[in-house]
Amino acid sequence: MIAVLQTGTVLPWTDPLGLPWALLPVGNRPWLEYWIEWCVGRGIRDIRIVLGEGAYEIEQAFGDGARWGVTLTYSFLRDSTDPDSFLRRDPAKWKDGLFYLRRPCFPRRYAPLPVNADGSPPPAGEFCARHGDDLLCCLSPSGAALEHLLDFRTHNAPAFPPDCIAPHPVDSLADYYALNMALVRGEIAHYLTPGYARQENAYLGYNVVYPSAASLKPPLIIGNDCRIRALASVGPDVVLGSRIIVDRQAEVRNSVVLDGTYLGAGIEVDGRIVAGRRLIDPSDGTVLELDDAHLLAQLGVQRRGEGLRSFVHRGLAFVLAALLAPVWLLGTLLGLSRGSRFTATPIVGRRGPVTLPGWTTKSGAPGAMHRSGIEAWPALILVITGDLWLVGQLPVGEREAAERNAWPAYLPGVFGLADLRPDRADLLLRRLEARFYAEHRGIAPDLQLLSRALAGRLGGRTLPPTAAVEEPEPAAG
Amino acid sequence: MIVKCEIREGAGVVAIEGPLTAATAEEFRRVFWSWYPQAGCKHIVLDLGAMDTLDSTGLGSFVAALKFVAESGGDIRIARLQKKPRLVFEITRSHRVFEILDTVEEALRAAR
Repeated sequence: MIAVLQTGTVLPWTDPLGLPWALLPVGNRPWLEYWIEWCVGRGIRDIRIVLGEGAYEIEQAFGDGARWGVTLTYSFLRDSTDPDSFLRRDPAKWKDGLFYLRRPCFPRRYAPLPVNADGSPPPAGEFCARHGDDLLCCLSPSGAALEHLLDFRTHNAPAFPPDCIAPHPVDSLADYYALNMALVRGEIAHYLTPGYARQENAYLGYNVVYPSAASLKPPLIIGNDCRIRALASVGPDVVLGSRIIVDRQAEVRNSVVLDGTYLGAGIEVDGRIVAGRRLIDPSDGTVLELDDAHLLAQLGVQRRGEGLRSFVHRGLAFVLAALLAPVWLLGTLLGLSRGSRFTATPIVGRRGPVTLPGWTTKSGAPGAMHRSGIEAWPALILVITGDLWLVGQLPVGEREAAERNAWPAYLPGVFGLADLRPDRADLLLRRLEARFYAEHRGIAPDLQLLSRALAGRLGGRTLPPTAAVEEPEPAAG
Repeated sequence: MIVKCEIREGAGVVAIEGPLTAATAEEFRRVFWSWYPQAGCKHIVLDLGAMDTLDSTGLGSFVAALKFVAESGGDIRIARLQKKPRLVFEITRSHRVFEILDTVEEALRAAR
């Protein structure tokens, strides 16, 4: 039997948590891991994961499946509107039976998995689980039944028996929070809890450091590499992820804290979800994004070589700015005499909001300065001051800040991959580029991109404005 | 950020519109510290119905204002606190320091 786990469905309520649903921690383990574990229990060793949103992260997290003794293979489905198309591509593959996870749901168990005397799982029947009119998952011992099963609007396969599984839809932040609370309180049994049991219902990961003056009140689950400072209090009913600092005198209870979060000194978190600098009220979905490192902060991982990269970018920008200054000055004077206007575009730079100066021709059509890229000269000054990278992503405007927060990296630059494609504003491509910069940034790839972008501009490619993300506001002049 | 100060029913009503953060807290301090001593009232109601963002610096300026007013024997009450700033009050435990009421009228009654 083969399992196909469809992870491409986008759940809008997961946006503030910054992770695709498959990787959302439930009791400190990724949600999808519970499904893999269930497949292992059913004796399914061949698991196909269909990817969509968060494909890279999911593949990185689960690897080849050796940890569970299964074979994980991945396929990317670009069109998530028809999740079943993957199955229809090659129906012969599923002739020996299929478990299909179609929509995100949690595999609640109310009893241990039944096993035969020899330890093997008993033969499965044909079952499915629904949520309203939607099929959540189905199990079909033979491929012959699959067509009927996928025609779920008319076909009525029996529901999974309680000793097998009870797929539980998670439709909101409130459901997600309640699921975590149920796990930490031990209300849902039959699952492994990560960490070692320090005492009853208190599970701690490795490298968790806390002084005797800190108070840990079970039930709680704490991940790896956490620091709990003196006089801090954690618990009861707390799920702390990994790489978390709970500063002195802070109190956390009835809460879920996701990986890489700093909880400031003296703060009190009760009945909330905290994801980095986002404080979420699960009862109504209110998200407070705190830009305040004294209260909450996202703990980042410092990349090596960033200082040298910044130095090279600023040095190159200085050289380019010095070379282009006379041409820019001449072009600007000429343009102003022909009725061009200065513009000021608010963008989000490396260190926060910054204004990008530029100018537009009287007719609004791209002029020679724009076509040649010389109009980027003021942006080079922002590189020298450290507000932009020389090579990086197209800077976003303040209105796009929410979109930027969902990207794995934001490295706003003057030149970059955006110069090499015709539609600079394509959001999907910009998201993919964010992934590229997050993983592959470095001096060598930057120089390569810079040379290609400059060659493209000197070659006369017509480009939209440097920061084409918001309407520029006319400024004096 | 806009700070509007007025006297109503013998108490000072200070309405804040916009974000009160590290970037704007100084403006609040400047306005409040110059207005309160010559306003001739003891108690203050902070009308935060139009305050959408608050950070620790903004909150710090409220605490400093409370100390300043308390030195004159007065108190500060907060009215119409919005959901997001309320979360900041809660995680910093400031909701135990300030009396928070739903409306300005309720706060004014409590200030009598």
